[in-house]
Amino acid sequence: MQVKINGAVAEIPDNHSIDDLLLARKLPRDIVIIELNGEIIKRENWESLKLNPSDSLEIIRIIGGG
Amino acid sequence: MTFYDEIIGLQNTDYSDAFELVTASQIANILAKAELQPQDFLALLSPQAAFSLEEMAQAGHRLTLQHFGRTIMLYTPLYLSNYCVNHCVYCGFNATNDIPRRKLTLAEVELEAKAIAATGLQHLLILTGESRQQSPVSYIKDCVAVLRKYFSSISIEIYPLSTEEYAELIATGVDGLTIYQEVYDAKIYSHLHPKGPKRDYRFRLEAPERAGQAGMRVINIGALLGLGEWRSEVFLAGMHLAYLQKQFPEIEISISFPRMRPQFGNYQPEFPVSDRDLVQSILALRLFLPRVGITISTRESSELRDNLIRLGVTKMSAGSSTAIGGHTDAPDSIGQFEISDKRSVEEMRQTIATLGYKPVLKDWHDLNLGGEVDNAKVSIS
Amino acid sequence: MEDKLYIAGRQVDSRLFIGTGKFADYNLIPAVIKASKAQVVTVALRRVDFGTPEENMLKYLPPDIILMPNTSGARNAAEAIRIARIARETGCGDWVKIEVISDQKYLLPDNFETVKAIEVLAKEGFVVLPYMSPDLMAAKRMAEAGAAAIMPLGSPIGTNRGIKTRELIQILISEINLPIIVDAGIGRPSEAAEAMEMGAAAVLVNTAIATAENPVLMAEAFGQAVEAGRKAYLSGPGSTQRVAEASSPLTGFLRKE
Repeated sequence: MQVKINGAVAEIPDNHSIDDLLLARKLPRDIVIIELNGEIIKRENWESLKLNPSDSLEIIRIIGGG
Repeated sequence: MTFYDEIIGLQNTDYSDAFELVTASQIANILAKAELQPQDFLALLSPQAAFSLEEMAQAGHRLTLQHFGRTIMLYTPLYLSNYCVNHCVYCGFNATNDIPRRKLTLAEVELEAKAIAATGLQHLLILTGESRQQSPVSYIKDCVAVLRKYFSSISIEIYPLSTEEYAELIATGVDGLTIYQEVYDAKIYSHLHPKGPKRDYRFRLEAPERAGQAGMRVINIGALLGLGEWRSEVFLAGMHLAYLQKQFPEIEISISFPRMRPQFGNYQPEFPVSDRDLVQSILALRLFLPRVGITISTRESSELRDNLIRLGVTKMSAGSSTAIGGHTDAPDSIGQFEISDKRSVEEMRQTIATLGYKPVLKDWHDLNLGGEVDNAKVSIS
Repeated sequence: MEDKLYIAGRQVDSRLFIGTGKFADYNLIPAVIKASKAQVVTVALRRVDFGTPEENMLKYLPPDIILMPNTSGARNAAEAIRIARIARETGCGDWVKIEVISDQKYLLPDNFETVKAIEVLAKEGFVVLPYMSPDLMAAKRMAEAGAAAIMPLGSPIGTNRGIKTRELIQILISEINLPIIVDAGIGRPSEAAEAMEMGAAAVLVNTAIATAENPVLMAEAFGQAVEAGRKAYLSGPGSTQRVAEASSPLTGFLRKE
């Protein structure tokens, strides 16, 4: 199915959870924050929450900044 | 938070201790500073600072020129009524004084207005004693409605009002408030105001803030010099000004330095203030708050007033009478206090011009009031 | 002498805040923080870039500091609010530096949008420190909206040009009853000291440290400059005397008393 990740269209397997996605993209889960369709998703829900077609996902992390 | 909270915080200030520590080099440093803090202001009120009076004068003169130019705004008081329920022991209108009581009728107000307007003055200060029965807010509104036809700016110096009442008067055409705390020292205040609504120190102290919230354009405060120790009184009045200036940046803030004058009742000031003390007070205040207006009334002699023009003063009363009907039918009746500078408006204008200053008779015209606007008069000449 | 900075009730031991952007290597950051003695440290949020390996920036920060995420990238109030909420989810705490920039040429902050963002975030319990163009009325609105401190710019971000807005910042220091923290434009320790001598509560420095030849040494220099400037402010400097002016005496008339 197709979803939007950080503004770009991406193809992911059906029934993918957020954790599945992070694993596939080799992103350590402790360095990112997830916003799904404009809402922040708490870390404890990343395993159970399955993504749906056309979901818009923002994967955000902390970097150096002034 | 109101200024009352701030003054509570200041009431334990040990002034004599603070003054003793002031050194000559500290005063020199303060005079070279761009912006003064409250403790600098306090230092300038110390006996030590009196040795640097001329230096203070030069600095104060320069600051006043910088912010106000060579101008002196002129106004005159109009006493509407001397009925009063208060017992201020220092005042000629004290309720217990056996003097003829009178309140102007609207027709008489108009006659006084015409007589004053004929001198060219456009800024008027109207005064009453405190009597909600004889001179209620409705009476003052009626008077303002008459006076608006003759004056471009009307200030009130009456008993303290509620925010709503100030708003009502502003809607009628009042744009300025003068209210003196008389004495900031709460103990002395209580002693000098034994009876009447004026006993309420806090209600009076917070009156300028209420007027500010109501949208008053100009607010003028002061301490009646002679009632309390002048150094601390001027300090607290200055702190009050600084508070108002900070709280209401849109308001034109000014201060008067009224010294006790002989009056019916013959109260003798317990803390006399010399000319030198008065000059130090004015200069300290000018250096602390370079942008506030400073008012000197006809309580002071012509000679002193002429000298004060170069020492920070920006507003002066002229052609004054403190009696009811003083500009028309009763020039010799008993006033609130005795006038010292008895020069006419015309004489004042000439003197100010001779001293190299411009007498200003009008610096405000409210386009929202008074219907017809004479564009020729409003445009900048 | 007791001289502590408090922001939103929390004691802050160093008046030098540092930013962590523009460092050649995150490995420098622990040493920079240590050398500067800074306690408040800013970070930013970005979308993950899948092209490059990700590392956990937070692991370079000591545990006892106050983290202050900024909302850089926000072009309006709504975006700043969104970024602030995300930042809180990272476990960075409640502090946030509001930075709304709609001008990409000079990178000047948008004071109007910033006020709107403060109104919302202060109500949500954030400790809001707005980055702003030094304007008295805007600062008052920000204080009313619930800001915990005000962070006026000394000159545009990253320019290292010093405190060009000196007169305007001085007015904020006099008139606003909140800590005034000079942010942006400070290029040298002497300029940080200047801000502190003026009475600023703190300064925030990033580019000048991050882009120095030796960032750790520069961080130490800034730390010392901020302390020196603060001490100078507290000691009440005797300013230079004005040139004496020959003028006639104004108080001569009093002598006959």
